[in-house]
Amino acid sequence: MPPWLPQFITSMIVILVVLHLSLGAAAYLILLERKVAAWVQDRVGPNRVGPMGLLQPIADGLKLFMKEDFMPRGVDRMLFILAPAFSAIPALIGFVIIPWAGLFEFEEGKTVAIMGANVNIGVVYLVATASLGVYGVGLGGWASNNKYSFLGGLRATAQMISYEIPMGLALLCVILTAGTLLPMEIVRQQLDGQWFLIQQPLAAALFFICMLAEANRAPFDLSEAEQELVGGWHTEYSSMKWALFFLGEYVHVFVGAAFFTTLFLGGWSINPVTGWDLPVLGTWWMILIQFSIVLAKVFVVVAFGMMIRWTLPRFRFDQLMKLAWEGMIPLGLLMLLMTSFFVFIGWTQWLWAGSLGLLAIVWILLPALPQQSNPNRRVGMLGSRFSPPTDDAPSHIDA
Amino acid sequence: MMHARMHAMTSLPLVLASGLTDYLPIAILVIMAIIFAVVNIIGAGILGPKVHGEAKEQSYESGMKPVGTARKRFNIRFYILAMTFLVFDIEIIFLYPWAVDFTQLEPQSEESMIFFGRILFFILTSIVAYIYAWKKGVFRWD
Amino acid sequence: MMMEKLWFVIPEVVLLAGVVIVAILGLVSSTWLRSRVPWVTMIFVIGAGVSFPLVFTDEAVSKSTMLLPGLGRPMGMIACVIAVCLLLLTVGRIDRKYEQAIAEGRDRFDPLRSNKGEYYVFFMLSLAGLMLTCSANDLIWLFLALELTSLPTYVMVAMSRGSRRAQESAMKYFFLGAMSAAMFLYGFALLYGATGTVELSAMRDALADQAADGGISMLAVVGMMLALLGIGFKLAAAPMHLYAADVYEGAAVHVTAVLGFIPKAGGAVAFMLLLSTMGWLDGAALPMPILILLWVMAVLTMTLGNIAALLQRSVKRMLAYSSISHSGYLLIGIIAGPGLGFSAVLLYLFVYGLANTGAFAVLASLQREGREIESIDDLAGLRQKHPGSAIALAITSGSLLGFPPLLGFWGKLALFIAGIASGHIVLVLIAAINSAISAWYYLRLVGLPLMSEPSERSETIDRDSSPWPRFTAIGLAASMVVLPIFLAGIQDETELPLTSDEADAVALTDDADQDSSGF
Repeated sequence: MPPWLPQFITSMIVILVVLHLSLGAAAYLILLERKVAAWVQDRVGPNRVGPMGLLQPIADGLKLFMKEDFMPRGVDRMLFILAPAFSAIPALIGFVIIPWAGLFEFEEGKTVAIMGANVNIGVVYLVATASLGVYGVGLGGWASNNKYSFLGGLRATAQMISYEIPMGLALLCVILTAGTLLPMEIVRQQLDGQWFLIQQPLAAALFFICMLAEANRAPFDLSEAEQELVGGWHTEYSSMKWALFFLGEYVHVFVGAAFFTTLFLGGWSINPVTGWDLPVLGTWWMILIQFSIVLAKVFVVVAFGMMIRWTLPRFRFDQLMKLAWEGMIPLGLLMLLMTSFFVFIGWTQWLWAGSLGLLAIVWILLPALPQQSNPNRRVGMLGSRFSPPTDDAPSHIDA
Repeated sequence: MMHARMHAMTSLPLVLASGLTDYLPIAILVIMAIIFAVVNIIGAGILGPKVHGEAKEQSYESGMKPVGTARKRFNIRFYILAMTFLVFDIEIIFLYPWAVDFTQLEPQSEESMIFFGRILFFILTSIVAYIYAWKKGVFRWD
Repeated sequence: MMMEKLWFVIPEVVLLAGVVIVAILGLVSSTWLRSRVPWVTMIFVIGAGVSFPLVFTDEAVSKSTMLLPGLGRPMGMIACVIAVCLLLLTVGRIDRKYEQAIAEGRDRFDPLRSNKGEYYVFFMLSLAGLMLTCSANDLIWLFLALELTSLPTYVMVAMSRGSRRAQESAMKYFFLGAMSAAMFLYGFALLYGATGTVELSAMRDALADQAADGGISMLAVVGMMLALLGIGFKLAAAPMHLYAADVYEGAAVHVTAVLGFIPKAGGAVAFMLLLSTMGWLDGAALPMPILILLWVMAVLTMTLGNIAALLQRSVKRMLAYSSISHSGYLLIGIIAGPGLGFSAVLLYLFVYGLANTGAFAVLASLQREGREIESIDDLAGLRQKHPGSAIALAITSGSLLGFPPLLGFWGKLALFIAGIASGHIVLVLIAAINSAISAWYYLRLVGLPLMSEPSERSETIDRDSSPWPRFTAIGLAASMVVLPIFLAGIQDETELPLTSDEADAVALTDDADQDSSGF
């Protein structure tokens, strides 16, 4: 038996399980989303198909399959067809480097890792595949020959590339803390010590925000802002092509939450601080326990994202860009400097204090920084509350 | 010279097979994902009804007749933003291997100082580039 | 090896630090700081110039494995001296209207509209490119350095004036520059294919092997020819000279002065480096096809440049064609080869750079209602209102012509001596005839300001609001008269400590038993 075969077999089993799991999760996340939306808005939500509406995703899937696959005139046919695939494929291949459970000892002294592929580039692979999703959105918007799609595609592209930088910076802080690119090793360090959520709270917050933005989720869903752009880049899409876009988005959410769990919530760790924790090595029942802990954490993260979606209002585009470029990127760069300085000094235990101290310093210094003019302008419309009509200046409009 | 963390890592019984067999599952998964996407697109195309019509084939513009083409010139800010993105993204990619190596060094040692100083210079230059872009109004969208 | 590369780029690092600082300085809202940008730039350029003798010490140079290690010091110092003169031309000229509007309270400072910092940033980047070209030891470095020399100048042309002409000439310059880059890159690829290495000193050994084995391969010769033609664009050497007149005319005067020196010096250095890999192996001459190409280039460049300059009515076009013809003279020194020839090229670059910058400084010091003067008739009777500018123009033109006591004469003399010493007497004769032709138009630049009566048109000429171009012009004119006294010192500095015969001997004995890696 070649030495790589056990890992390969494990990898294929994990891939088959998780692929179906994520596809099913995507379908049921849509149902969950509708339920959460309904509860937040004091409604009932889908409850007709099956008990508590549990069969709704299957009915939706069937319906989408039977719908007409329509293509309007003037589209770029090749790109129009390829765009949904470009959106779904990168989302589906991202999860392989997530460690779903620890190491399985199948023979004395021989172990296999319960993950899709145990590659040495580790988390860089996930960053690479996650950022490929922007092609689907951009191409879909371009190919549709529709002004709404075009604007939606542009906005989504600008947004995704903008939020990739703070995401990379937050990830860099984690790598500096962990000293490795291997996700399994990152988890193991959190088992031994504190969760990185505690060591790097600011990086975790940055990462979570970027995760929402990368998946085009509210409050960052400008690219499909219904009130302005109809459906954004998927205005002209229908049937399974449209469904692939949505599948891509929800799988992206699922994988992003799993990635967040690995990086900041310690995978299957149950003790957030230093002390006793579940082991890395284990037999089949330990693997099952670890797997269910990971899934539970993923569910919590996803649900948290959904609550954010249905509570916060959507950003305006200039606010979105301002948040990324003038808020999160400078903060990320400062985080990077702080973390590398702490690593250089050797104070890796005190990174949480560094993060909080940084936040305090930024908060104190913020008013001292030069302020830019506010893009929010009050357009003095006659008779509005901003410019009540007066006798000496009857109709003055200062735009 | 190696940090204590390095010893902990080597003690982990994690065997990384050398070579490309590690990537074999990824290749299979990519093929599976492609098949999934293609089957869905083709299947829906076969199963669904087909109706054509003059008004139906127009691109959607809130019910009005479409005016002109959609592929127009767009704001230059998007290009400038994309270029700024490239600068920072590539910088971050450069930093990943550095981050891994840097943490293996003994803290406050001379070697660590050199690593830290060089990357500090690199980061500070890109911070200057960032300030320049900010002042030049790359991030203004009003 | 790595440390050596880092050691020799210290001057460039100084410049790059300046780039970073100046880029931000141009965006600060304080008028006082913004107006200091040229002087800050000058500090960094002088700093880079001073670091050359400290970095390229005799000891460091003798240990170096570069092909022409001695090139860096003289070329870098020449570049810095001329760069300081070029910078003086720009003081108070970049963004002048905009800054005036801010000073008068008509406008508020908006970093989006300010180009002050950028101009100096691109200037320093271009200068750094020229310096990097001198310390290039492989083809990739050479390519990147040459492109770093040229790319900023494309932008400088485009932003030098608000006119359509500047935009048009920048586009022309950019597209033709891209074409030439593609051409010499293709040449580099063929050279790599023929020798199997990108390192210049290894390439020289490989070509020496091929020569010993019965001739340099055709592939290398064709590659070299393509590379020379492509780099000829930077030199503005025929047949790649056609862009020069339009671009020089379209750009503002201070940018034209930059175009007349920095890319040209970069091209000349690249010529010397590339030809040293192939020519003068074991004391022999260049391969025949290369020699013929260089001859044709030299003769065509001189003759076309001078004849076209005769026909011009615009001063800038005339100076543009004159600078083309000077590239032709430079090629004589390059053909003459290491030793006398290369030293003469360096001396001539220095001399020509000073005189050319001086001539453009005179143009920069004059204006009519805020616009540059165009026609040569505008200069008639300049002496009456602007005697300093008139005399400066006369002296710098005389120097460009090579009038005996002036500095230009000694530069030309060195080139002609090198040409005769290497046996290219016919070429020197053609150059001498060309000098005689050029006298016609240079003497017009001398005679018209000094002897003609002012016309109605030339009465309306004013001096520029910034005094620095005038000071530069007068200072450079004075240097044309004074510097010949120190000629021996300058020649000492431009002497290349090149030991090509020794290098050949080593190369031949070391590699005699190895097979050549080309075909």
